[in-house]
This record gives sequence, C-alpha cells and structure tokens, in this order.
Amino acid sequence: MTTPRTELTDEERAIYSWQLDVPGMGEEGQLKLRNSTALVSRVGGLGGPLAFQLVAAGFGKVILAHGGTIKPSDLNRQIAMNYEGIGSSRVISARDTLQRFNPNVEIEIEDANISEGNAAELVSRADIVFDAAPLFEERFLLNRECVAQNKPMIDCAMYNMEGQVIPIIPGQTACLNCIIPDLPTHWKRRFPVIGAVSSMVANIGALEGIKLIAGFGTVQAGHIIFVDTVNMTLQKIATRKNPDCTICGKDASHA
Amino acid sequence: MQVSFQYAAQLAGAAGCDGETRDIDPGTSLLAALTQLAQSHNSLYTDLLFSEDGQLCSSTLIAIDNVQINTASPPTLDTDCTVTIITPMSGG
Repeated sequence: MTTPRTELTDEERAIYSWQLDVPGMGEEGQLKLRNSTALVSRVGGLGGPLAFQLVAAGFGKVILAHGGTIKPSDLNRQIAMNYEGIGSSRVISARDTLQRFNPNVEIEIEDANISEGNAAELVSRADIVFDAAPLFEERFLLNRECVAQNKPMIDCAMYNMEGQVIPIIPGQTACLNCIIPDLPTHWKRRFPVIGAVSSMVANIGALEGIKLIAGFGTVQAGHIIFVDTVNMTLQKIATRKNPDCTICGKDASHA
Repeated sequence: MQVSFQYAAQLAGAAGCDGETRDIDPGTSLLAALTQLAQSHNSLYTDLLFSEDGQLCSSTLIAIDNVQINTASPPTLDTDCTVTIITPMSGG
C-alpha cells in the first residue's frame, strides 16, 4: 500500500488547475481523488468514456476490467478504443488510450470480465466501483462484493436514447439487488444505443463518483438518475431499500 | 382521476409510445390498472410487465410520483399521479 499524498505536485496543479477552482473541490478534493483507486467494470460504450473522465479528473489509480477483443460494432460508442485495434484486446486498447491522455494516473488492467474468480479481489483494491457491464450476472456479482466489502458502487446503464445512474452506498441505500432482484427474462444482450447517449450517461456516473470521493456537492445516493435524451429530461426516482433483500437485507449474510 | 403512465426502455418500444394518460377510478389497485392497460397493448408489453403468475415483474422498476414501489405489494391509486415504468437496462 502506498502512503497517501498530502500535497499536489506543481505539474498536477497545472493539469487540474481549472477544476481546482470548482467550489468544493480545491486541493483538498483533488488530493482525495489522487489518493483513491477506482474500479471500472467494462470499458465499452459506458465504461470507456467513464474511465476517461476518471483519468482526466485525476484519480490516483484506475483499474479497468474487460475481456475480449474489439469488434467493428463496438466503435459507434466505445471511444476508448479505435479502428486500428479491431481484433486486439479491448482493455489494452483502452488502457493505452487513457494512459496517453494522462500519464500521471496509474492504470491497471484485468483482461477479463467480472467473475466469481476475480470480483472479490478487484473490489478489495478499489475505493469506489463503477459498474458499466452489460450482463446482469456480472452486475449482481459486483453489487454483492461491494455490499460485502462496504464499497460504494455507481451503477450505470442505458437503452436506446435513455440511461440511468444509481449511486449505491452499502448500509445507506438500496443495493442493485433491492432494485433488480431477479435476472430479467426479456432483456436482450444487443440493444439500440447511440454513442453520445452512452457517453452522457457515463459522464453523469463519473460525476457522481468524483463528487463522492472528493467530498463536495450532493451525490444522488438512494436515487436513480434517469435521463431521457429524446425529450431531454432528467428525473430522480427515490429507490426502495428492501428489508428482505438477499444481499443487503436484515438476514443477508453479506449485510 | 387522471393517471399518467410513463414508459422507458424496452417497454416504450413495446407500447409504441413513451407514455399515456388514463381516467381511472380512485381506489383501483395499480395491478388492476396495469392489467387493464395491457389489454390495449401487444404481448411483449404484457410479458415485460407481468410474470407468468400475473403479478408484476420483479425486475421492472415501477415508481409512483418518483418513488419506487414494492412490486410484490403494489399500492392502490387514490389521486392523480404519474406511474413511471422502467424495464431493465444495462451497460455495453
């Protein structure tokens, strides 16, 4: 474990100078980001731009987890990757893109998706977890581990021209399992979406995490932030903590 | 009373619109209101909203006036309100 930094370097002050002036951020907030590690599950259409913003904002370390290789159909939205990388590792391509953007951030990769084999260990290394995975099994696993290890999780999702972000704080808010207790039966792996929508949802998710770690603003914990980009509306829905939740409820082994 | 139903994600596609407003008698249960509404929509709408036993699907988020409800014990509708229904969405 590295010793937490107590001061920004001159280079960091230069890089982050515009955001240091944001009310509530300052050097104190920036140092909190600098001393924090974020885990991003999947770096596709949502997780890629989300990780981009975490790296731009100056998290000390970002762990990217994503398996597989780049396909042409990824490239309408997976902006941490590019055409030259088709056929090569998604997560390595994303790491290279992000590392070029900000070499001051330590970027670690897991060339695999979240699974029973790696979820606990990956979550244990993070201060905050961002879920941008398509498969509900992965999202449920990440949620379970975040509750078990008392780590905040920002869950991000999208469909068509809509998206949602759910900031989850174990012990305080509903967990993902309270909101979606069962595998959806009619959800399809391939769904319509435009890259600008996935990036916008990603940016909202990144902002919630940045505010949470840096300690300013109002994190919408206990709410679903729902965005409809057809009508350009943003809606906040209060979530319901389920006392009988098998993950975070009163009788759950992980609670 | 007037109840607005707001649809999102797959349900909006199944309904062919992002919402509709209906006159509903006060005291009608949400389950009954949605069951009645489903009769004017296609089978996918029904499949997304209801489980095989006719209860509300647990993985579909339903909120009344922006507060999530317990789908296992849906409330009655007593005043004008907006029912938001969001079927599951994910990353990708």
